Amino acid sequence: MNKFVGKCAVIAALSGLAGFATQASADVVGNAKAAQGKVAMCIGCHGIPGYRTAYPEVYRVPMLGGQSARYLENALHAYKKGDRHFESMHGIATTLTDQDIADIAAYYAAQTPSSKNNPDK
Amino acid sequence: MKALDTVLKTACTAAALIGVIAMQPAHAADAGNGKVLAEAHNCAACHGPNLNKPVSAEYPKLAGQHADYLYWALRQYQMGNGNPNFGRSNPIMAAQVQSLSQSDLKDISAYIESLQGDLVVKK
Repeated sequence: MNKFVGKCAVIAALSGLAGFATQASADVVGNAKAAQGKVAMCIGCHGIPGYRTAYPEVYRVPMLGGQSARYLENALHAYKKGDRHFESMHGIATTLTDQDIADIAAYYAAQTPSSKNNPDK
Repeated sequence: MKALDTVLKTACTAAALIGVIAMQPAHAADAGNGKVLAEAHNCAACHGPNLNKPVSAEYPKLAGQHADYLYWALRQYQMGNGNPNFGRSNPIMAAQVQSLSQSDLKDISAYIESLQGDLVVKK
């Protein structure tokens, strides 16, 4: 009987932990201010009006300012995971944590025509 | 003499006309056709009115985005992500673009770029 209760307790504790873990990743809240020091690599392409890629196609890189935060987050996760293929974005996205991604998404989503440029860059 | 003059005039007009026709880019994107296609494919059902107010934050704002980027993004949804160098995996967009030709995609992209939206380039 005691053994059975023990097993139940272990299972309950484990499912509690699992629940906590999923919640933690879903609960990452982006902080635009915190991204100020994290966007240097983004600005190198996305901060230059008319900047173009070179390979495998030539096109102007997308405008990010004012874009939906959740979409930007998903796109970065997709580049990291391989649901979107582009070597430069894959290289950068793999260096970002979930928190970095949420912060950067919040940073770009908050931009408007009257936003000031990044004072750190 | 008068006949020669007429021949010369006709020849010049013909040459000028050929010049004007030749100057037209071979496959200029047609934003008007793009609007028709965007409406027929219900882009606004997800990307919102004027393609600038998505119904969910999961979907991007499109209005004003660069046409060449949009075209390549649409092409990549069409091609899937089997190639390591390019491609996107997205079941909704893959289904949406399946029946469209490359010239259709260019027309849609030109139409979207012509719309006024919230997107900006800032450092």
